[in-house]
Amino acid sequence: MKMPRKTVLQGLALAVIGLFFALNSLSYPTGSFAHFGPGRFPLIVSIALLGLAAITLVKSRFDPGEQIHLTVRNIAIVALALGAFVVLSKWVDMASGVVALVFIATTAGVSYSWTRNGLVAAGLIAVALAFEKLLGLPLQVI
Amino acid sequence: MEVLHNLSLGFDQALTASNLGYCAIGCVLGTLVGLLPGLGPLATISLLLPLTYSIPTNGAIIMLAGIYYGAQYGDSVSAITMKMPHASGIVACIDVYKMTLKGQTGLALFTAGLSSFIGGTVAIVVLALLAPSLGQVAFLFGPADYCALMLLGFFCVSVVTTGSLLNGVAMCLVGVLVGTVGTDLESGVQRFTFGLPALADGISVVSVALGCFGIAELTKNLDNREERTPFNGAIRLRPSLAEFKRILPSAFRGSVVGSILGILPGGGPVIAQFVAYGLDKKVSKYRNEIGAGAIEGVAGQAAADEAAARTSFIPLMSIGIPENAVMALMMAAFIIKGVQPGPTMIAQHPDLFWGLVASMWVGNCFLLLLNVPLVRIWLSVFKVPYSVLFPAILFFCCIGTFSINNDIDDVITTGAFGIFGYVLMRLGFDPAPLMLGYVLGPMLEEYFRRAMVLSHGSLTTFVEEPISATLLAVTTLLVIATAISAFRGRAAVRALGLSAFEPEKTAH
Repeated sequence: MKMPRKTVLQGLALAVIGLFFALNSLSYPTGSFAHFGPGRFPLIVSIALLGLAAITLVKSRFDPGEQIHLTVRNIAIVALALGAFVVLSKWVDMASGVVALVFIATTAGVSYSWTRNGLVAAGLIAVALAFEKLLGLPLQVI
Repeated sequence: MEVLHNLSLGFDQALTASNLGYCAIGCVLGTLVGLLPGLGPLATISLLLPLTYSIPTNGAIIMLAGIYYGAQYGDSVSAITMKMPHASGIVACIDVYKMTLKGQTGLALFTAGLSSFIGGTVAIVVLALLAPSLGQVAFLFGPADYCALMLLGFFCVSVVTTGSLLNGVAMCLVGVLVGTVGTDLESGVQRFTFGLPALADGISVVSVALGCFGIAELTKNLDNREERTPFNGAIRLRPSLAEFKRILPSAFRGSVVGSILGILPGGGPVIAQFVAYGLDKKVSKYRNEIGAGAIEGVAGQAAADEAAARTSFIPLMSIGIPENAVMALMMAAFIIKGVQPGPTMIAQHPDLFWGLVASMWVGNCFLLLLNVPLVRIWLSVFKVPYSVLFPAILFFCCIGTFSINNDIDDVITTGAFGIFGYVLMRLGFDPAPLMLGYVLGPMLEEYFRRAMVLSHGSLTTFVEEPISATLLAVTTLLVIATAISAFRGRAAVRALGLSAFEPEKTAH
């Protein structure tokens, strides 16, 4: 499937964000201009954002922009590494979280080395231990 | 005389052993992190902000300011030696890199260091003289005027940093909306929290900054899959007398330009560099050499860069409105430390204000004395492979996020903003205005509500109040001028011979 061009995607992204906040704002009391309800200010801002989204979409008719190449691989790896870090730090200990973070994240790099990753993980665990013992951060490294 | 008295109070603060130490650590760490590929001042401050949590207020603010100057300088060094600028070193790339190709790296580094020192010194004089009186002007501002000023700031930042008014303002609005997440302080209603307790207090500035700038930038660099060769060239740091004489006029010109442009809304180092470079190309005795590796092409922009970086503190500290994304982050840091920047800051915290002003000059000396001679050591940071650096940076992002509330779940919020920031970057949006919108959002809402209450719900108050009406008129003129120039193309940029540097690349 061919990706839409940049300006079209920009307009769509702004519209999605604007709609998300506008619709949710309506679930809170909006009050009046003299007596603002909690939903009024975000509603005004999201309507303004929807206006900009509309202008961008109109602009895309004349200037669609270049083709976008969105590479999902690396951001997915980084997200997975962070997720593993959180889960392991929470349920096991931070040391295992750091090991998972390093070994997963480096798959996004240009080269992969088990030895180098082991050394980096060991170094970072040492730093985390220093933070815990010397600065008193409650990291629960081991 | 009063200024001298205040400055001596400031130096009493800045020259204590602990504050000198914080300033030095800030400058060195800022330079080291700022040198790293893809990490500009905004990302550097985001990464290092959590380090200051356990430090006393005065020391923390002084250290943060040191991190900022250090990051600016680190960025210039990577631009000079590797042609890898992030933001602040963008103009430096033009002449400086050509000097590097001619084997004049040392001269370029010396020129940048000395010019930064001159620019910083001039700016500190401007700051000490102007900030207190500008603070008095701020007392004339009512809620409607503050709203109009913030709106002007949004538009100026959008034009300057992104080059696209439409995209920039859109990002500011997205930032304002992100800032509304959490408990509404007036009604106590939780907005956009979806029952998640972690969002009840709102999204922390560190999560937004580390996500949008740390993680997103890191992933963008990974996508480029570049293997950079470390700089191994020889460095001769001592200039000849003739070369030294060529530095001074440009550096002073750049200092004045930078000091002025640093104060204006949306101003700051990036625009100051372009204008100083353009001015040197017009008036310098050696203008014909600029563009092909001339000292003047380095001195003017480096001085302007440093001067603007310092005078951009003026609107923050005297009016309480940050004028660019870096200052927005600094403002968040001030608030975290219990200091509300604004007209009352000088009266309530004179030791902090003048201590910071004095520490700027101390930071200047550190940069000149430590960084210039030690640049060879700093450059060894490039010898660390990116495969080692990036998991380490990711780890520090996690620890930085964790240290705010000692809650590991906050890392998920940072990760979510990393994905959000990355998608925005890939779509061609610049997240820098988002940061400004996010920090100013709650203030904008508060002043907007107050203005509406005072005017009994009449929107005409914005055009009836003279200051607000003037600021809105300036904003309207800016929009019209930008629209016209968008149709006419970017003739001014081309005239400067900078067409290779698209505005998108000048962001952050």
